[in-house]
Amino acid sequence: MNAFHRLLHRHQQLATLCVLGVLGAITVHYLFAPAYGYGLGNRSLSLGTAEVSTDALYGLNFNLVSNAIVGSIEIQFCSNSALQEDPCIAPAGLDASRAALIDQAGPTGFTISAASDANTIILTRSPALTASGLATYSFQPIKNPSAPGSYYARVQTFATTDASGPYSDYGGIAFAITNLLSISAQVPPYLLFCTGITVSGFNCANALGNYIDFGEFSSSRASTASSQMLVATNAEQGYAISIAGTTLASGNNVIAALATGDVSRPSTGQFGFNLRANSAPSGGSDVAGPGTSLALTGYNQSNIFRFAPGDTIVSSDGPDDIRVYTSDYVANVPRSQSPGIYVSTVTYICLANF
Amino acid sequence: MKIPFSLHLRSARRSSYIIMALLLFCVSIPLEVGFADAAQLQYRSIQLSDSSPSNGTYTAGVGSGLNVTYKISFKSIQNASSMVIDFCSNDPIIGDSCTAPTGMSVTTAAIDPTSTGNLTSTGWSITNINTPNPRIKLAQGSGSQLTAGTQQNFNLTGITNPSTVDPTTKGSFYARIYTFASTTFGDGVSKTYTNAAAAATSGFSDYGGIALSVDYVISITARVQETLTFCVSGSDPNNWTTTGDCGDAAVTSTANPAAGQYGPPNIVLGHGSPTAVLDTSAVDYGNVWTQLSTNATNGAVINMHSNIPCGGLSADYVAPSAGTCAIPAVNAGSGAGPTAISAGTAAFGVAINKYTPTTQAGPAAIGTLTPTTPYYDPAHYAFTGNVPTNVYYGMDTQTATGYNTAFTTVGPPFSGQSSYNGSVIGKFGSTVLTCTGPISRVDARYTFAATSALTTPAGIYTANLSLIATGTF
Repeated sequence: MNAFHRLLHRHQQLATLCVLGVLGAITVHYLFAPAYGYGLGNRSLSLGTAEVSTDALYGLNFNLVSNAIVGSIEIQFCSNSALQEDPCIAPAGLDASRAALIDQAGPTGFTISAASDANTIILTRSPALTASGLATYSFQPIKNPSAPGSYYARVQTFATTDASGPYSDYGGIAFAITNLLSISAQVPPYLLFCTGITVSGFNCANALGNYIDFGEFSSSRASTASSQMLVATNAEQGYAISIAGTTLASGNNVIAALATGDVSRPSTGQFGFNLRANSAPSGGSDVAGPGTSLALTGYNQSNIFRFAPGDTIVSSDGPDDIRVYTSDYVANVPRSQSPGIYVSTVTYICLANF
Repeated sequence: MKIPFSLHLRSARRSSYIIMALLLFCVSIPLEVGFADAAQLQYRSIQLSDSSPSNGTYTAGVGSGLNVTYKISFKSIQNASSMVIDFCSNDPIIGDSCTAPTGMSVTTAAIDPTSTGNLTSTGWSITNINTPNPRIKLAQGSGSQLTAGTQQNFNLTGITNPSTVDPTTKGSFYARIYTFASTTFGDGVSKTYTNAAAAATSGFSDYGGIALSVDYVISITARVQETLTFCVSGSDPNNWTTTGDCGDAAVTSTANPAAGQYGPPNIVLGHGSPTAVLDTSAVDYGNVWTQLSTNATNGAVINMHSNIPCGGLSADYVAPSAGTCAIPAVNAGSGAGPTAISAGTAAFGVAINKYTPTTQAGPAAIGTLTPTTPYYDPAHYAFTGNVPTNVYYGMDTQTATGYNTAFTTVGPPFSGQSSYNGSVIGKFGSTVLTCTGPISRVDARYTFAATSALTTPAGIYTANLSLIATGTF
């Protein structure tokens, strides 16, 4: 009986071994299949502009991973997913139907198939064995989608010429469409113009005085005085400064204006000015400042003076930076000049042409 | 009548007990012969690193059933100096004939060098054959013997699993383990192991059967598609208080600056009222922000592309004319680096850097964006809030193509492309920010600045800039 029980016990143990062994030996393994996008490497889609609803240049780059026959490449644009298995919803507003293949590198010889449509470009060529490596293609124009957001391109290579049959390599690309960043700035028209006995520091805020006193005229020498004016403008057509006023007069008695320009002639009735540094008589200054305008003929010659109301004395044909002009006045009187207080009012008028 | 019958029946019952006992004794004879003094190995198991059959789809690694590691565990009752493991497809019973599991191979099996305990690769030798059935023989060498009552654990590597999943047995196969007192696979006296069918008389010390199983691999697939989310906003990300990303109301709403919502970004540079204007007295500025998220493996770049062919601010540009930039790109459009903009010297530029808000809703940014040289000078990028206090600006209009191998292994493929650095007036603009891998919710601030000169013609100056994010997947 003892042997019987031992045998029975041994067989029961053997039987239970099977169950325990199976349970102990079963293992569950999680196996990760190759991830989606494992195909085409280093793939990117560069846009010339990401602005909504705008014709753009699209540059497609990727690395072919298979040494395979390539007869066509399909680029499909979708708004919903980059996954090849998902249905593709065409991005609203995107239009690739007018696209031309403007450049290609790596595998070449492609043209755009007539089977392409608004959201699919099929590049086709005679099938040829193609080594792995960089492939780049650029298209223009492709009209961007009409709304900002993320969009997708699916790229597949085929041995056939019409993107049919099984694909060789594949990959998805995400790209973004955004609103345009608009930058604006307004530069207002301005004319900077001031006069004074002095205008120092190229700053109208420093303009001082508006009254000149020649003192007592003498027939033996010229009387001189000066004033200054500052001008600058961003007027595209520049500016012009003209003069208005009358010659020196005391009632009906006048000192003749130098209507045609002349040198200073003491004992001769003369009133005029120029915008230069003069030596006879000494006085005045040449124009100063970073601008480029110059005095016009008649007022731009040293020692030649003129006063012809209505004359344009300075002009610029475009925007000009600050210029400071010094008006150097000269007055001569003959011995016969009637006594009196002679007065002249000279007005400078600056007109900008915007 | 009853009594004799009863006696007869009792006699018959006694006889039947005797016969039964004799029968059982006879049946037990063969087993008792081989199992004398032997006991079953306790706590025995074999754990497989891969339970896949070896003829599956996968040819390497988990799922292939190849180069599998078997972890052998048991506790012997007696000391042992050698052992044999037979693999059979029919049953684990000691002494039964053994059918080789189809496709199984142990010829490259080895003791895992990392195994510890009594049975080690340095202290024990291994001998393998596949015929008549896969068999592994392990013998004590310089190592220690298997100690009775001690749990043994060691790995056998390099085993090829059976190649089929039998529909009847559901992939089950079996191991039969015998331990021996001698190092020569026997009792050290007269009995020696020869084969599985004769194992019962091999003089083993302890024995045990183990059932194993192979089954088809469980394949789990998860798809993660390419993503790239990029937006431009005139609103400081500190005001992105709903989602904190490109879907935030501050980004997507129509312009309502009073509510901190700016809609599509439009920057008006200037000062004064009622109409802000540029003049020579100040450098006026304006900020916009972007946010980029992408899982692009090889990173991404943000390019800035101007619609003005001269790259500055223009008052007379009408496509397709070239136009003029009376407010030109700062520093004559040099790509060498940013520089100061001085009030009264007409110039237009931008300073760009990563931006780290403090009150933005949602999770924190992951990763970083690196500004490129023409648009960021770390020594001159000082702000009080969003007000520039010491900032240099750039606007590269000269670098035709500046492919930089640090950005990606794929360069500009064709003449004139400036995808990875270069002029804002190039085909794909000028690269202003880069990252080398996936990033999430990374913000950047773009500070545009301009001033006019006395000679800057009056007019309304504009530039339309497209900020383009390109991921390399």
